[in-house]
Amino acid sequence: MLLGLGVTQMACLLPQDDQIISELPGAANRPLRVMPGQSQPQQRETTVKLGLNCKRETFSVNVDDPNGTDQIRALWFIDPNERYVQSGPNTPVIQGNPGTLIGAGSTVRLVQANTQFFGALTAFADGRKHRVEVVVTDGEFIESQRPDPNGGGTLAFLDINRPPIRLSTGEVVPVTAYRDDYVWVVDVDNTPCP
Amino acid sequence: MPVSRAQLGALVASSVVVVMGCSSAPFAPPPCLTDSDCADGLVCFPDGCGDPTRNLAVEITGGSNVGLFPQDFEVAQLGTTQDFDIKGPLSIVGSFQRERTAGVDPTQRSIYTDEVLVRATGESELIPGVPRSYQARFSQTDRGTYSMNVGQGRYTVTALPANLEVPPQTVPGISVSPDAGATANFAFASVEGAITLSGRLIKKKLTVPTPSELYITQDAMDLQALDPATQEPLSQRIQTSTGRPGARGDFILVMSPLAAQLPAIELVATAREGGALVPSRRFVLTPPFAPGLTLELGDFGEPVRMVPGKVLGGDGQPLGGATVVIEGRAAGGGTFRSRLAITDDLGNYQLDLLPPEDSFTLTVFPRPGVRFGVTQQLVKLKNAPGSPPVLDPPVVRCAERIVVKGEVRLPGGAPAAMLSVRAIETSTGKRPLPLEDVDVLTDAEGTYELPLDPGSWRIEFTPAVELPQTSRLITVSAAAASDGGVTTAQTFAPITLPRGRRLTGAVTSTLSTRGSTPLVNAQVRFFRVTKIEGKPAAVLLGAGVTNGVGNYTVILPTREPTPQ
Repeated sequence: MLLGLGVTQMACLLPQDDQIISELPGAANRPLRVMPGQSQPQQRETTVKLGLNCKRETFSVNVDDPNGTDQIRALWFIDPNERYVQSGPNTPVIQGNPGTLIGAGSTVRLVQANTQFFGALTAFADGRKHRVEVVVTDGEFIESQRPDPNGGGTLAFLDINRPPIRLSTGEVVPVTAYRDDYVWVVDVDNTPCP
Repeated sequence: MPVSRAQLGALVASSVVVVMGCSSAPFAPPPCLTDSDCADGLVCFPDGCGDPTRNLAVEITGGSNVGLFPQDFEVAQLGTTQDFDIKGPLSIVGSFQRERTAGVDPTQRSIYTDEVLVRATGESELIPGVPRSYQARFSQTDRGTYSMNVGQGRYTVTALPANLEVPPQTVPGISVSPDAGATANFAFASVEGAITLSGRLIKKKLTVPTPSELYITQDAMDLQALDPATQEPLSQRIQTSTGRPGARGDFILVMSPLAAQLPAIELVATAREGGALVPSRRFVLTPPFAPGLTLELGDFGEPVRMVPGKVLGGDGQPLGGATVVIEGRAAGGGTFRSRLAITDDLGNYQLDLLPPEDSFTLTVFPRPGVRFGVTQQLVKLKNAPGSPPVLDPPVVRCAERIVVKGEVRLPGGAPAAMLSVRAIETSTGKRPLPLEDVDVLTDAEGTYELPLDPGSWRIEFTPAVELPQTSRLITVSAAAASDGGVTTAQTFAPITLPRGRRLTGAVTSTLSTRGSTPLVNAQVRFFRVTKIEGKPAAVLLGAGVTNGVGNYTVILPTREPTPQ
């Protein structure tokens, strides 16, 4: 009886569409992300010692991009404004490194802050708390414009972009760029170390 | 077949000479170059030949559970699969109390419930050289007790009350592991028990024409007492001068009773803001501490603003994007460090400075990967009336970096193309800033070139294919060439990557009585625990990340042949 049921069900299978797809589109870009719990410093709120002779601290995040060959770009901000553009010396924007693989066969890359970032951070040793933020993308950072809600002009803001892929058929396939970020709240201590 | 150390040295020397030519200098031969230099079953590590299945430690970080910090596991003998179960979260618990009397008496203490910042600084006990530090702020605690989540390790724990008149307390040697709870109890000194140091932080006392004092009115100043031996705080960091006109620098520093038992204490005077145009200075005091202390920072003169300078490469072309810092002894005897400046495309920069006692040291850090390297030069400040201030010399010409050339091969001998090569400085040279990591890729022939500054470096080779990462240690030195110049290239003997084995396993977390659950998105790092130059050290062998069901895969070195 079971065999008969099987035959009956098989008989219900519909013929497959025999249309042949001329060319498969490129695999869709998948979003990158900052790996949770794998940042340095490990705590969101921390104290950074940047005084004379102090051993340099590390600021880094692990970024997982399932598209293993994507180039990762990173920008580091100290007290960014809501549009993530430099509006003066007090909102430094620092280009980070592109990230290197943290293990063979892995899609996770280490993105670290550089000397320029620590140089900028020393100016924030003032006893107050500051927001340090890293923004990573698998596209390109670009400065776009949007209408100013308080006036007739436009305001610059940080945007991301990724060039479209042109197939051999001539068809242009748009590619979505993704971004992620990570934030620390830091006190900067400039007491000299021995 | 094992190769003796002497044979290996000869082998390396010959390979270096062949590749180098006359403009290069050889490195000291490393303990081994490739796995074939080692006995059967052993792998060539930076510290020499070793068993890849023994002396391992594993760090597991992060994951789906918030508040879970690194935990370490000792792996005596690597199995075919390796599972780990995270306990915890691990924490340091304890209490805040305050002495009621001048002495130390556990029966005469009250519960301290005001705000306290607790900092734990230390490193992993199982994986040498992996630093860990945590902090948490506690206020309105339940009966003065606290609990702070931390990673596994050994810590020095300091409690800093928000009330600046309560001296901090430090408890060293707190070991945190899943096997044993860690407790750090704090009993802050009473008002009577604390040592009060009053005085004034000024620029300088003057005797002529009449006795008077020069005050610090440029920037807000802070003062803190430290134990000279441990650099642990004996007092809070307090403000002595607002930096506004009229500020006289009066201070009252409340110190731990420990200060009276030490042979000496250190007072550190620092500008509140980084890059301020005020020097910092250390003062050493010996007990007993007399009231009415006067600390002289020295007459450091008036700031000199927008002092220009220029940075060139050794080829005479402007060097843009370089970081410049100037530091040294300021007029009056304090220590000054400028803000960091970045050169523009024409190599120009400007810095605000103090007058030096004699000269300052200027250090240029060109971007990693460029041809020209870190350069230090003594500079004087010329600030004649009526003329703009200038540095002497005004232009710094950066020396060429040593280009470390090497070649990486796959286990079968083919070139390892497009392999990530990263150089990480391991020396602790006397530079104002550590050197940045340098990243390059190998070319189609498996060769790479790393422009490096003199120092000790660890070179990490990370293949994208399923082979293990490996590393080597090198010392880059600016040795003199036979023609009297300085060598600009050094060749590192070819590296053959070890074969890899896939190790898989599961990571679970047991955080409650509900049993263990898979730990998702955790980083799993395998280290070889060893000694390098006689000091405990850890070498990263491989890393992986757990997937959605808590499983990980990592590629580790092996001498076993690759399965067909």
